[in-house]
Amino acid sequence: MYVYDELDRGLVNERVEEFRDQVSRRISGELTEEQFRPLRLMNGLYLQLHAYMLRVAVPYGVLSSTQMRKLARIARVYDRGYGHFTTRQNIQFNWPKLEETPDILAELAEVEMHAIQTSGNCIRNTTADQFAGAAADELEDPRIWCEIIRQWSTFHPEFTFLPRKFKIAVTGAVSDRAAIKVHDIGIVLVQGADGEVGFEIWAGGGLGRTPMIAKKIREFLLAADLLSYLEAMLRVYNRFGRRDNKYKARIKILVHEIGADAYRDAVEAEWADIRDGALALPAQEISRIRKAFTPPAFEVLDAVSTAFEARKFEDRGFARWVASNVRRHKVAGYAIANISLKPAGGIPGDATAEQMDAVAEYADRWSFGEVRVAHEQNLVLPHVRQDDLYDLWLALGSVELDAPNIGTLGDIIACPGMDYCSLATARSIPVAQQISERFADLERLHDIGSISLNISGCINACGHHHVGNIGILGVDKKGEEFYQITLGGQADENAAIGRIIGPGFASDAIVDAIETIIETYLSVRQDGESFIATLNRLGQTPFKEALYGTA
Amino acid sequence: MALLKNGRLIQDRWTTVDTLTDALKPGGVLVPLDLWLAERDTLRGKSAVGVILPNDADPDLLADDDDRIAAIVLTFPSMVDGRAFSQARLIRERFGFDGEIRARGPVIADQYLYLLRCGVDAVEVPDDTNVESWLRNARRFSTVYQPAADDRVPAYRRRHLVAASAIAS
Repeated sequence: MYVYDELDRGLVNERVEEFRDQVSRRISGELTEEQFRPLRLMNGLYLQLHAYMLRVAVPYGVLSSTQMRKLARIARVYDRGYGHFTTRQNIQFNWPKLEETPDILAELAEVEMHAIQTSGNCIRNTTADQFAGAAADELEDPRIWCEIIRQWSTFHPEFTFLPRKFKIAVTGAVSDRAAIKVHDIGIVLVQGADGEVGFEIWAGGGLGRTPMIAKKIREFLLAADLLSYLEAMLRVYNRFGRRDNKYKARIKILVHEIGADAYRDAVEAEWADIRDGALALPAQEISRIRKAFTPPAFEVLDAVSTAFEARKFEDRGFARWVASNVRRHKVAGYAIANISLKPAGGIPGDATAEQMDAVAEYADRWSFGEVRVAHEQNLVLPHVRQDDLYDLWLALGSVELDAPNIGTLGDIIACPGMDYCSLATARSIPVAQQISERFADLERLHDIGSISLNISGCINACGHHHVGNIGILGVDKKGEEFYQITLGGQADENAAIGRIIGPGFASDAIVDAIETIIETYLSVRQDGESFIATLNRLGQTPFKEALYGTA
Repeated sequence: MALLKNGRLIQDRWTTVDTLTDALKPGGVLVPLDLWLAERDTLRGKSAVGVILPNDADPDLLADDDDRIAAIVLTFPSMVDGRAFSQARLIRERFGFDGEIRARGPVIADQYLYLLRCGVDAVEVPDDTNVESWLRNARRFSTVYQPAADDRVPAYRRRHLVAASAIAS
């Protein structure tokens, strides 16, 4: 993991003092709410329906056990004993008091954490593949580049008051688990002609009111040019992005309106002027950061653990958990263990302080002290010996973190919705809870297999409904909650925007509608065919007929 | 309004004018971009002239005149409209403009560091401004993570400079 040096540490401490000063100037009235608002947002502090909400950055989803324990402590001392992991790999606390937030930041700074730029119209937390450094299909660890971007984007003097928020994602693997094509900028690590690592650059993806898949802007960029190219991309956006309408202010609209070619030309022209300047990354710095992500001291193990295989044979529950929650690791004898934060009937992404402490302990015992946050709102222990998986599973069961449903219908992404959010037009959490309860039977859940279901409580699409295989969007229709269903969305390397299947459903009919879709899939699928493959083969017709009858 | 420049609150000696007649009167004047573009040959003879650049205008329009202009006024229609930050850097870094770049609009002390880093060296502020608040914000951070129009060395270079000089000594 990256460890702060004195420069990083100094900056984060200075930030705490800055925010303390801002809060006291707000309380004294020196700052108006209008002036304070962008400042607090840039520090992740929202005013929600019932209270302030503090969003803490988890840079590219990586946490040490020490940091996880600190989050547990904050949940316990300053909140109501729980936190909510988000689709941006961050964590939100729902009940902090304004005057206590500087103290929370001071505690976070002790463990090299902060809330910098977790909101506001600036460059947000850069996200990455949650399996970074562990995935078998990885070219290089994307966290190296995320950390470089994190630093460059922190307090960037030119790009802190952009037209709108700005999100960057990086993946180093063949399978895109970071959803880079629905980001403002998506970066894929690729190998150049001479074998060196460089980047393929995408721009203009995004969800929200106008979902769009990113366009490829550059085939190959040298590593040393990363920051100068990003700076050129952001400068063009800052100068020419629309500011007349906040719903048209994201970079996707600019790229769409002027076209990817014109955007690329503008970026390349800008880049030509700054490429050889101070933004060129020194090789020593790249190697310093790369060193921070040196793999942990893995043992040399057999590729297949007989003890592990025997356990799976003996214990069906364990075998089921392994089938859905464990992924292949790049090192023989190790595995990636996903921890589902989606128990049947639970709130997606929520974890109690006790659960956070437990995960920290398991990370220390079995995963080199490392934890990851996945954008699907789950946790990951990235480096577990296959031999330890059984003990881990038992331990997870003792704190109700053993739901065997990663990548299944139980693994629902949902925004906080109208239960917390002041923008929402409908509730999301109760819908997620009802669906996961309806499909709680594990035999059935595993029979349905791989599928994604995402729920947003308003058109802003924080629940990523456009890219769920099944998407649900809650809308308000004359004071009643209605839920619109889209089918066919994908967030991976085959990213696609789902299409609306027909009229929406009332809140008491939405779960039945989902069940109808699932039953239709089960009746028409071919052997081993996933939901999305069946849908892509047959189109929407059979599902439409099942939901609305034949016309 | 007063002017915050070089760490002090000073009286603003420039007058904003809209017409050529007013612009040609004695004293420093700030003229709208359109007036400058229409009358630049007449105005060029005047030593103390500044141009007010709308934040959606291309700074390139002033690239050839930078030795004839004493000041460029960048406009912030609101504190969150950040286009002028890019204009400032282009004017300072790309054209090498060394006159005054001033910020006009409802910017606040908490943005002062960003303004300075982008090359803005003067800010129009209310007469009763708490200067200490602005200066405190300008000095707050001991580290920067990126190069800009100022001479601060970003962390990714500074770390290795320190290492190199430590070895040399």
